[in-house]
Amino acid sequence: MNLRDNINKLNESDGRKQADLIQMWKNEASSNLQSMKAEWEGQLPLDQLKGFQQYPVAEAFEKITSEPYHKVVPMWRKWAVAALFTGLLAVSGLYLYQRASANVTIVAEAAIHHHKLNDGSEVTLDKNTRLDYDGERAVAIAGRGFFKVAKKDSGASFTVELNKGKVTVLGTRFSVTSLPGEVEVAVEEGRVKYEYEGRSIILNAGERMKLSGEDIVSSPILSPNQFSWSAQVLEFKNTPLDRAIQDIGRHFHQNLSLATEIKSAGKCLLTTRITSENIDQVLEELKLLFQIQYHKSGDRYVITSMKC
Amino acid sequence: MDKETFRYLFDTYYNALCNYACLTLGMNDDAEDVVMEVFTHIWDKREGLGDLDNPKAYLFKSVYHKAMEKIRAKKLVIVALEGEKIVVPDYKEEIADDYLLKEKIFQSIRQLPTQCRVIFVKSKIEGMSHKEIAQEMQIAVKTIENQITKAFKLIRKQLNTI
Repeated sequence: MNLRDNINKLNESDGRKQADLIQMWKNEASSNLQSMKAEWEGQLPLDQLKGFQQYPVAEAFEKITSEPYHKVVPMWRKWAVAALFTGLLAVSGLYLYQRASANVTIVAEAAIHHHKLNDGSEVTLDKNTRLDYDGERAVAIAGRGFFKVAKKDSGASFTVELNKGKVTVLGTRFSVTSLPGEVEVAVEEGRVKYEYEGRSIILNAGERMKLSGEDIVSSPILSPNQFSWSAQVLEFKNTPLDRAIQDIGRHFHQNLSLATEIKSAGKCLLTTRITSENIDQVLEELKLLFQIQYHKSGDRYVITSMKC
Repeated sequence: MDKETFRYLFDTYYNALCNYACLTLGMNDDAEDVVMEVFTHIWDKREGLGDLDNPKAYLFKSVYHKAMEKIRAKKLVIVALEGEKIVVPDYKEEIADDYLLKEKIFQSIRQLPTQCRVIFVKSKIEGMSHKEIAQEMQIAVKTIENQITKAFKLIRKQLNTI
């Protein structure tokens, strides 16, 4: 007999005792239900599903199973010999080419990483960032990077391939964020061109752009701490705390926000210089300064109360 | 191996393998190519091939080796920061199981009704609070709670056991 039947049965009978019993059942049922739910939710690795995606399965199946050469064996044999030779040529060509300019992949795992590229450009990679470099003037990045691109007399441009879109520059300083769901380009010095799906935008020093859905949205850089993460120093001078919170979140590339019921954060002013390596130390500091309370769920931090 | 068996393997493993190649081995754009190559090989050889004893191990290991071949062929140098050691993840059965489970959950989330799915993903995968979702979507917090309960129910139905 399940819970519902029990409750129904109790409902049918009369008396105070029975009514209390019903209440007990209900309370017990909801607490049982809740603990069951919590257990069940805990077993699903939902937090690890970030980045998981759907590949075109049907198309791939068609491609593999309906190619004509799979069926025509004698022809296939003839072609195979020819393909073998062209293949050999192509492979040896590729091999020689890649010997000339080795591809390099740099992975910054646990710490921020400074790197000088062959062409004289410098790059700072945030934690958990991967950079593929062709050995000359092209890179692809997953994560966050700050570039100081060296200008070439030949006028050769430098390109950064993002998760979505591409950045082309001559010689300049800028940062990019390239993650699923987060694409941003911010320019400190010079000019850069961002292209995505046939559209392009020129960004000047002091401007940044973000992809919002598939839209390119550009805006001026307001915070002096836009690039603070690459220098690993965060500075505030009478900065309203709500602004400072945004900067701190960006600096550590963490999702940090104020609970919506906190209205007074704009009146609290923060003056400090932060060189901490992780966000928890900073939050402890804010705890002392503004008695903030915060909680962490997944990789999100939410400040729930404060005083100043 | 007949076409039906091949189709079954393809439907069960293809997407999980692509994600495995992409997320664990860091192949990004090449992930699909690697998995396609593995399946093309099986398809070409299917007449001389009986049913696989352990398709999971066979497929994941093949993808692993193919990906490593690609990484080597491209002459990628992987520089890790800690102690400058080279990062090469090993094939482990637990990792394969993990990806198959993620694939199952992922597919059952994809099958949720639209609003239910959107709310569920925002809350449980992107980690937004109920309040934030309520504000963004202009709906009541209560609706969000209901939709999440509904989502869990539907997903559980899909997964049957765990």
